[in-house]
Amino acid sequence: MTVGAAGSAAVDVIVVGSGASAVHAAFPLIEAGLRVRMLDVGHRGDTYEELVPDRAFLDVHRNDENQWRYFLGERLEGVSLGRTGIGAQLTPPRQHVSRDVERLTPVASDTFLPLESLAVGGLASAWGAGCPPFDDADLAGMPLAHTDLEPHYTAVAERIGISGADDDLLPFFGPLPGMLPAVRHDLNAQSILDRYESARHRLHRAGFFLGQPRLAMVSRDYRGRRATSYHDMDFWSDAGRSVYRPRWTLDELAGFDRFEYREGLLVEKFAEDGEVVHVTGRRLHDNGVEAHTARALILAAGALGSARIALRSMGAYDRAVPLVCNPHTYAPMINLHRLGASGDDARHSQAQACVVFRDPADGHVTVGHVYSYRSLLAFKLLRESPLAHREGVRVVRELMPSLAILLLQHADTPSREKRCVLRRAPDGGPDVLEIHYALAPEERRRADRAERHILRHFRSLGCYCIRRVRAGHAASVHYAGTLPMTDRGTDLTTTPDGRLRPTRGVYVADGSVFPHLPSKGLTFTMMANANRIGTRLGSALAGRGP
Amino acid sequence: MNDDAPALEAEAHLITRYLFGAAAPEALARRYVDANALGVLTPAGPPDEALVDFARRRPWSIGYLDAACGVLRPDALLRRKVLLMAAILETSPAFARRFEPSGLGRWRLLAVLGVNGMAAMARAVVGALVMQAALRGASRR
Repeated sequence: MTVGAAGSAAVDVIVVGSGASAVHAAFPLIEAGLRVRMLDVGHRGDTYEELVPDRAFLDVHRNDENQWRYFLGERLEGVSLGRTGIGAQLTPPRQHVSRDVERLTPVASDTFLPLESLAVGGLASAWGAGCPPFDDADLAGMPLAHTDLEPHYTAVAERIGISGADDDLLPFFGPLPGMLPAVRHDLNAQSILDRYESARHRLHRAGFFLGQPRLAMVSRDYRGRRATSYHDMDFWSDAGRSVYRPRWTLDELAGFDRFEYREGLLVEKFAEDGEVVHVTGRRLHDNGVEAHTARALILAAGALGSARIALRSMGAYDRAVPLVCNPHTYAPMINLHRLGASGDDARHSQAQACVVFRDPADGHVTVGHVYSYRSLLAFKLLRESPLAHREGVRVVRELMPSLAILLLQHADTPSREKRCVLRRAPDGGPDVLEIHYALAPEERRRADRAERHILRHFRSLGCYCIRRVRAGHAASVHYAGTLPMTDRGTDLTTTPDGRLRPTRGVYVADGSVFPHLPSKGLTFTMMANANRIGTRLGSALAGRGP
Repeated sequence: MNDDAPALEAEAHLITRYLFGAAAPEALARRYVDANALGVLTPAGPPDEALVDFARRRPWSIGYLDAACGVLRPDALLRRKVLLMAAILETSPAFARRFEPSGLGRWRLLAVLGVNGMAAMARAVVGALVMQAALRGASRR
């Protein structure tokens, strides 16, 4: 075992992780003239990258003899035939996102199977690119208002490129300066939106609003990225870079001399020593321990990853910290008005429409996204069908153009039944994060009520739900609240500036700091908040000098 | 259950014939054999093996057993094997279009759904009896 990092001079700030929050925390620090080192495991998904052609899905599907290699995976990792493990929902070219997490960052839970990432770019290497911002109602109870985040939403939007429209969802999403024109939706979504248009006043009175999703997918060439080519290959490839991935920002950061990216290191803990922070981690290639020093540290390893590091560093084993996660339901629907259609239109693969439901009874908001189904292949639907496969193939393929998959997310608040605890492994292996997560009956009832209302309104638009699937507690992959931001708090909470109590120079910039989750996806707000924390820390450190 | 390459290759042809009425191209049959070698298809117990054995020995029965398993044993090895072959066929240009919608129009689609739904139900009913026979025969052996 070796200690120390050859050639590692102290820097101003160390950032742990390379995901959505890490890169946007680092960016303003670099802009402030500081030296930043990013420490990361940094797995890459090179296996299939070169194989996937930069062509439209239907062309690939009908002509590429090699498609089985990336659609199914050379080890059949894209065909779910038995036990469904962590990362099973990822396509083969995206499976590196969850590589090694079961071995290096183990979780013990009967109820919560989280998807974590040790990949370069983190979980956002496979995200859905939804970017709804939080408003003041969403931020209620946090020491943060929309005005605090507003300039950072703008800065991040400028960096990542967000397309959208100022439509019926504007009251929920607000204006976004510099927003790119909306990407085109497919014929399936168009037919739903057409019917919504003729019923919108009735639906608005019932609290149901439909419109374009805000997507981090560029509708015109932008910052070296190509406008979406509507190839419907977004689950398989990042050709053209039209969908935002944190790697694009990492590439921009790498252009600065003041920025350094160190991969192959799993950060384990930190220790403060006067005016500096020492960070130690384990090198993956030789299991050696490596140490780095900086004036400040930003943890951006994900809500669970940062909690692990903080709990371990502060010796807080066996102590429970909270955890929240958006409960998640998906509902495949048949759009009657698309029955018998051919489904060969050009489209992108991300959400085609966004729905917001504000319950007239209690004002509770639920957000969902509507997807069409094609490029994830028919055989995956066959697995869900009870029909004999021979008939199943004929039925499934003809129904695909009319299939609209509604993904609904519900808000989540902390409770005693949602917590995680770090346990030392008895055999000297990696510490285990024990997670207990259960929804209260009232939370289930509220979610069920909202879902029934939303599905009733979709029925009025000709979309009939086949079944509702509650995909497990961790399925939304939006984890938060482990080191919550509070005005006044105890150890293992964070200040409004993101500083971890009781440390002097350790900050948290990922989902950990959000004490609760509204039903809108967290990622855009998490990036904006990381930018805010980086900006404030940058000003403070640049003013203080080395 | 015999899982050597010739047996698996024959199985690939059997499944493809069941799904689409023709034998699998050799390259796809080999891909199926290679996929089985990855160990992703393990029988959950003796009934799983018995059903596959029965289908191999009596090719006419595979559709009935598949249909019955869809209702009674959705995770059966036989279902997983058919699904694997379907995945291999779908990701080959020779068969890709058979997994794509043909744009029948609403009324023809409803007819297709009706005919195939009834056929699947009828197969499942007969298949339940065939399954019983297959499992009874295996337990006697």
